[in-house]
Amino acid sequence: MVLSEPLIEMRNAAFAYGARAVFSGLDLDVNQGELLSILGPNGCGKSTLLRCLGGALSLNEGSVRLGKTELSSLPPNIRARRVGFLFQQHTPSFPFRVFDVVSMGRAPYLGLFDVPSAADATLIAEALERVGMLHARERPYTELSGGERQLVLLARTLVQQPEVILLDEPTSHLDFRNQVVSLRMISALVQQGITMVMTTHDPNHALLFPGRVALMKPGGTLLTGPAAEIITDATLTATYGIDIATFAVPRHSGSGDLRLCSPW
Amino acid sequence: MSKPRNFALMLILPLGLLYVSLFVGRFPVAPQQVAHILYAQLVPTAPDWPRSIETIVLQIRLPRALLAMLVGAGLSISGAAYQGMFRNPLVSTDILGVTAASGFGAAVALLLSFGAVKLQLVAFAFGLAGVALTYALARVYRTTPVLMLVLSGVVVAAFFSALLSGAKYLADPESKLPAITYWLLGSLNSASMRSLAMAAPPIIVGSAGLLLARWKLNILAMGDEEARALGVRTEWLKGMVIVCTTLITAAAVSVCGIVGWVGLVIPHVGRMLVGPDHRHLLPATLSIGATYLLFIDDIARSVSATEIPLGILTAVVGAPFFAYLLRRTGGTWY
Amino acid sequence: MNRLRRLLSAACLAAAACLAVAATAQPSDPRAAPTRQITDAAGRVVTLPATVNRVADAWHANNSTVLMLGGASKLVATTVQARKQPWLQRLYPRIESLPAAFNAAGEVNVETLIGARPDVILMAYDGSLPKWFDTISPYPIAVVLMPNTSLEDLATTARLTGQVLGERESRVAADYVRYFEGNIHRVRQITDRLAPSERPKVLHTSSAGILTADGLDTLIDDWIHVAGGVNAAQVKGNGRPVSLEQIIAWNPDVIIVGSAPNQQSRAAILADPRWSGIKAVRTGKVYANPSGAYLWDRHGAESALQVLWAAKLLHPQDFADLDVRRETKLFYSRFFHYTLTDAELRSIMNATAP
Repeated sequence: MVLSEPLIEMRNAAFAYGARAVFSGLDLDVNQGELLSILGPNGCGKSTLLRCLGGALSLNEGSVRLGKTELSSLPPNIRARRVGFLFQQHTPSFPFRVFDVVSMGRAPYLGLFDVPSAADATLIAEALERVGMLHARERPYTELSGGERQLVLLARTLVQQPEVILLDEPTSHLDFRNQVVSLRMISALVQQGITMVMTTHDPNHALLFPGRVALMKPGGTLLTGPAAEIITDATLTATYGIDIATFAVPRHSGSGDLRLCSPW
Repeated sequence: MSKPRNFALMLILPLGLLYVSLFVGRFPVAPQQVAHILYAQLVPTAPDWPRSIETIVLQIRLPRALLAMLVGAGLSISGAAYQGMFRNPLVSTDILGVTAASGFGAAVALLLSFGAVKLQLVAFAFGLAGVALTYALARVYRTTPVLMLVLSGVVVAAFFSALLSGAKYLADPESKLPAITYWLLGSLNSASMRSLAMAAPPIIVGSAGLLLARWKLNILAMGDEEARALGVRTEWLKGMVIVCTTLITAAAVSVCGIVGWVGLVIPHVGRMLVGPDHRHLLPATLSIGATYLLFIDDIARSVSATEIPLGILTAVVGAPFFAYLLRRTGGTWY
Repeated sequence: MNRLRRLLSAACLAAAACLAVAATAQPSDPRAAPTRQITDAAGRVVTLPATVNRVADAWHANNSTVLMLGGASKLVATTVQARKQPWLQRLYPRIESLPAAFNAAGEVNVETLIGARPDVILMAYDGSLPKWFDTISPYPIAVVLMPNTSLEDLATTARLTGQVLGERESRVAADYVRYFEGNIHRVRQITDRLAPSERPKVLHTSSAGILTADGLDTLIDDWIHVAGGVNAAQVKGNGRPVSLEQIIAWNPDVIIVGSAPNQQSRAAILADPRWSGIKAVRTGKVYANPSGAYLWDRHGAESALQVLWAAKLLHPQDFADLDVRRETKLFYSRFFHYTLTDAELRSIMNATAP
């Protein structure tokens, strides 16, 4: 269900790394309960846009509103209660237990010297259950495969109980099987009512599930709309600079057609 | 090892060693005498032991043992906190230059023939100043990135090391130079109730600060960006960790010189025993560090008439142990 | 063209031949400078110029000996520390402006040393060659090594120093050695007859920073023994770090604090409750060692006075007629040619700067 008021409103946003401008004059809405895919070739600034959307980076110009509140005015722990991040790269350091890693997601609700309580423990177990990793709760998270580790980190963002989760290229470091597992998990969570924004460089991912797409062109302009409308031969070819065709194939589960695109 | 048994051991072992330390040493003291003397502190008893033994136990060995435990515990918890904050198991407490700066301060104090109290204060002050300098150098756009901290620490430490060499150059070879040299090798030779009273507050306060924030340290160990995304004020937390560890390390160096390989090795021992979760690791390092340095100091002052510098013993024990760790883990720490 | 080229080649060859001849020519020395030879403490046979006019002293303590023997005008280079000695500055103001070629770490500044053009370098020998020995070996400067481990060595050192400096200085050295041995003899007449139980246990410690004791097989051990005491420190060597409880175990009868600042350290020891159980502290027998042109208790010229002072300290009744202050005044006027005022005398006995 999509409410009339967008959850996140980004208006006239501009960001630059020092002298290098990434984008300017950008408007973007994220609606409650939707899956928004930010699509574009590498280097176009999708990750930067995502971080600005979530308040991890401050805009040079413009505003980002979460509900009615300006994101930059929120203290970091309040912001972390409303926005969750799943970053592209995670370098494991110490072999913490899976359970303890997920418990870090409760940090926004705890003071400087507090530790997670029994009530927190229940939430953590639930989150692990939801991503299907409860069986691994005692294992060191460094021993998990890339895909399993990502599910654990996803559980950690769930435990923040955020209104929206921002995922930066969630599938780019995963093998084929884990990509599917990951995307299915994301889709399942959206269906359970969590708003998700994900960046991806693979248009096919955006086509997999119903949702909106924001296509980012080099130069930092956005083209937003339903996936089927935005992802066309013309736009893809213009964005990626190679000949890409879209076509429909029947889903092998039998429930209708799946749109795909391919340069081959 | 089960949790309750772990906990009991970590409490009993250091206390037991403390008792042993009171009757071990060059001057023969019987264990029962120690028991009687300690008891007499609580319940006034007629002394059946010579005054000299009471002086040795209460005025010399007790403050020295307590100081060894404090310094060992403090350096260990600081090392663990830094290894978490820098996400690097090779980090020690010296990384921001506190040891070099404090060592230089002590050398200056020795050159100027300061008494013990002034020497401690000067060394402590220089230690704090050194880290403040490192921190100021490392500021970039209102943040202090880890890489900048490390590099600035290297620069500041090198600077103070050079100044220290200068001090040694000026020192009179009959007295001052050997004094500086021995002091730098680390020794609890000059421990007294007064030096204990001066060093204890910063070490206790610093350790308390680190203990309180130990869960947040887990999050910091996942990386700055992730920690911020989880709502942690990373700059404040890093600042607090630095302040606490500097208080501890500067106080430790000011009272016993440069004792290395404790802040580096004990956290690893802790991780081997209780795991990497800082909630358990930090308290464990307190206990392990206290026991370890007390044991080493007992050896340093008892094995021969000449005292063996602490720094030499901790290096002789610590470096091979670290080599063994390297072989065992093959360079990967997880 | 051809002829020009041939002429040029011939000229080049000729030039090369001249250079070759010049390079292989022996420098002709019309008159070789006369030399003499002495054997130093390391058993080396050293060739010295017959007349030595320029001496570099790499041994801090020995500077006072050179001064005493009358070789002050021949000193051309010294150590960083000797230059700063307050009493040496007073007795020999020139020393402050002398180039300091050697430092406390035993290193040499070659350029400074060569710039001073010394004929010979004087240095202590403790069994191994000095650190800078190889550095200066390419240069034609003689090095004389002198012994420094016992009282007897000090007499040998004075004699050797005199020998190096010259005839006049040798005579002064002989005079000094007579005086030195005379002092020892005078003291030993009484102390040699002491029974072991009559010899107090003496601890000699340094006052800087860390707690140390000077033990057996050292110069300090020697003069303690000559003065009628026995070394309380049962360790070997100088400046060994010891724990306070070890000192309590030794329980010395007398404590002597050497190396500045002696008075301060002495006061600290007397005031420290942890030291209060020791016999020396209980009976108030904690003393600061005097220090003048050099520390009396180490290898300077005034070690000749050290045995007198120590003997009087340990056995006041047996040496009732010995007036150390008078002896010091006499020593200074006889050997340093300096009249001490009472204030200066006090500062020497108290080991403070003049």
